[in-house]
Amino acid sequence: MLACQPAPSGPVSVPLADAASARVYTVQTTTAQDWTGHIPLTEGYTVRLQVRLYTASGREIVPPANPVGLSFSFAPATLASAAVADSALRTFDLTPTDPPESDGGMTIRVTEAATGTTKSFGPFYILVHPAQ
Amino acid sequence: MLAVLLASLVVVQHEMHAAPASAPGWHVAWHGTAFVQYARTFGTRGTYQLGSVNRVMVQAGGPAAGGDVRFDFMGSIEPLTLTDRGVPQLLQASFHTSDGTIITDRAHPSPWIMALSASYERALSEDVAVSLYGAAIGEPALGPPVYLHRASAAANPVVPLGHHLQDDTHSSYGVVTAALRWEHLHVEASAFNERQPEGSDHVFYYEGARLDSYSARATVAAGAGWSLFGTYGYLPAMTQGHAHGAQHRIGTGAILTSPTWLVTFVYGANDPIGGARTRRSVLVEAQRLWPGGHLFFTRAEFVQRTAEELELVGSINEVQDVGAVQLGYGRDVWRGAVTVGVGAHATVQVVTPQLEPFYGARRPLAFGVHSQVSW
Repeated sequence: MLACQPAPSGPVSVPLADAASARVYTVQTTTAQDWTGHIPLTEGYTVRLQVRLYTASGREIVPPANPVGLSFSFAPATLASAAVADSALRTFDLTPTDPPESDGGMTIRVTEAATGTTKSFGPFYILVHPAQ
Repeated sequence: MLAVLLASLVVVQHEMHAAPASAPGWHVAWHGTAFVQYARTFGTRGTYQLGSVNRVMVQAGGPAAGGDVRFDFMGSIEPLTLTDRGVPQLLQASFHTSDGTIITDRAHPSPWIMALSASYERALSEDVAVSLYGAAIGEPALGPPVYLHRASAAANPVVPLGHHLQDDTHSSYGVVTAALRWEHLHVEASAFNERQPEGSDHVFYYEGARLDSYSARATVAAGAGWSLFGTYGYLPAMTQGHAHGAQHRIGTGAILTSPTWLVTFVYGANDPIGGARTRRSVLVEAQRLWPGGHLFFTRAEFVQRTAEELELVGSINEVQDVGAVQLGYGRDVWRGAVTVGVGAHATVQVVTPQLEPFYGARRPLAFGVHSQVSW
């Protein structure tokens, strides 16, 4: 390569207070897919997703300096349900509860008990597809 | 003569070197430019790079079948000289490398080949001509002439922030354009394939290719060096590189070409189909030339960025109003078979309060110094 520039920054382990953005990835596929812009759910199926946290400069926070908890809300409230699968990995299972063609947003609330810090990210767009 | 004048105003605005070809009436012309530059951005997302922005154009043409035939090639080695991470530029639309890495606040490198096309133009009378353009890779009649071809940006190595709302279809993988020239009016209509690969590994990319994007552009040579244009395009939903939902794109603008001033005004907007609000951009770009090889260039922009383009979905509101004002100076230091110049530029970006934590300031800064070699 014929350019001189700093190497990409690696992950960093910092408190939740330093988290400025979040992204949502799949974890059940061979290659994690970025579903941040659009979460396509299929009627009757549950998908496991992971919340990844980033600093303002774009460095991924892995692992967070302290354990964090996740909670979820939906608009409309009936759109889907979510349950934490592994809080250390920040993974959760997401299941649609509204019929196909429904859409809305999911907000993820991240809490760091050690410092009392809470951050909310979202809405992340969800669209429910019919089962094949 | 009229056709040549309009072509010089609307399509390619470079001084090209020309030489006669072996066939009578045929010629080969070429133009190349390479900026060797140090680019520096500041703030939370600041970084630096020593690299090169570059491109070369080759054109061959001459009389054939009662008209004029032209072949164009345009290429770049930026995938090597900028790497697949592109060049630092705050607030530029994000992109993905071939391995899926998300790149923000950098402009992607130009592809290896940006134009590979042929065109045929035939005069029907002194004032009327028709033409047909076909490109394996090329520029449809949509938006202003791409910044790479604009005389007002010839000394400016920085990509406009509004590129993705104005002229990002310039290297489409499959284009057909029919055009009519009538006195001072030039009307073009294109069908093209807008699909783009992710990353800079591909030289050609025809996966799922279809000519399912459409556009039209009308340009008027208004006199005194001015040309005015209006443009419309329909762009269906795309995935991969340049991903977007189905949208209309509209644009208008004016271009001044004079011995001393080179100016471009552009308004460009993407109107998503299905309810999301229209996103707008405005660009004013100029280059002032003085005797002795001195020049001044500037660009001012307003752009409505999406959270998705900044890779901040869920962290900021969907649309953010951002802007940039750039001032630059250049000077030719040697003129011969090649022209060597030096220059520098500084840019002040303007971001919303929501974006301030991500950039470290409401007005993050950037600058660059460069040497430009043209031939």
